[in-house]
Amino acid sequence: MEQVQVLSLFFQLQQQSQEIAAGYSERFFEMVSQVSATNFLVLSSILFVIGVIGVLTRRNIIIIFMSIELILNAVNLNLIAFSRYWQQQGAPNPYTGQLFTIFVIVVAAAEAVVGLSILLALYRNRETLAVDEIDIMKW
Amino acid sequence: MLKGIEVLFFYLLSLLCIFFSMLTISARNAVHSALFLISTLISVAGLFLLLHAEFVAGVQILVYVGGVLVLFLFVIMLVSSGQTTRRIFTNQFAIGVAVATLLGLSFFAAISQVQATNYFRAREAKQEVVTKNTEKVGLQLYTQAVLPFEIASLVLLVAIVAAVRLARDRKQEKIFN
Repeated sequence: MEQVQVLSLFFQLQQQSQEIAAGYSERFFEMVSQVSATNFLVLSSILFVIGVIGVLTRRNIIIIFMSIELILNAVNLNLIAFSRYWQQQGAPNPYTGQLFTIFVIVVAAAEAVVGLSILLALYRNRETLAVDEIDIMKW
Repeated sequence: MLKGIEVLFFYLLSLLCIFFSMLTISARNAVHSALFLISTLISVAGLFLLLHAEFVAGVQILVYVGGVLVLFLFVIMLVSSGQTTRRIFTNQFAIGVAVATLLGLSFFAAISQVQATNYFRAREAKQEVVTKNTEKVGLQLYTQAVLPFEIASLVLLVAIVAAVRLARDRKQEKIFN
């Protein structure tokens, strides 16, 4: 008797999990076939993670700077996607995302200029670009 | 958000983006890395065009590809002394990839929460809008965001002064002092 109960419980669980999986796959195909804001969220998070990997693992400090630019671009993509989303929703002020993007680009340019000139001064003094050899402050 | 042929272009451009960004962080030579970064930025500009942000796409190509990346290439050619390094990753490669993967999983969890509530699907495209993008952005920039605009010009001025001060070497300092 108990065995029958356990078996029926097991079959119920299996059926439920199959239904959940079917819901997920249906939602996945919906998402792939029609591009909405979620697709842009996924793409920009992938770009962001690639940039973070670059910052955390590369040795060359110039490539670390480039990864930072990649991260900023991922964020810009998000801002523009949501600007378009609010345009289509008929929001009163949908262009704020594009303004933010312009300011992000300005600050990124300033950051690149200052960072690269610091890097030039560093190279003149230490003759290296590898981040694990720049340890003059390490005690 | 996108319809018809735009979907195809979205997937093409996003594949190009991911491909070139992975090449950017894994290229051995810094010059190659900068060129792959240029390709990534141009693909992102194409995505901006798909999202009807034409002005920002133009600014992206002009400022990033025409300005920042050329500066990167100049600096790479100034500092590269021809020696090739054998190790391109630091010793913390595994930890870095693990941390980034955790970050990506948390992003994915947040996005799947939003997707599960069907938030964006339920409010799909009330109206198809074709606007004068540059005019709208310019109007907003000079009315709503005029103070950040002025602060941005100040930031650029400070960056110019800092770059001139930091990047000149001892010889030039002797001449000018």
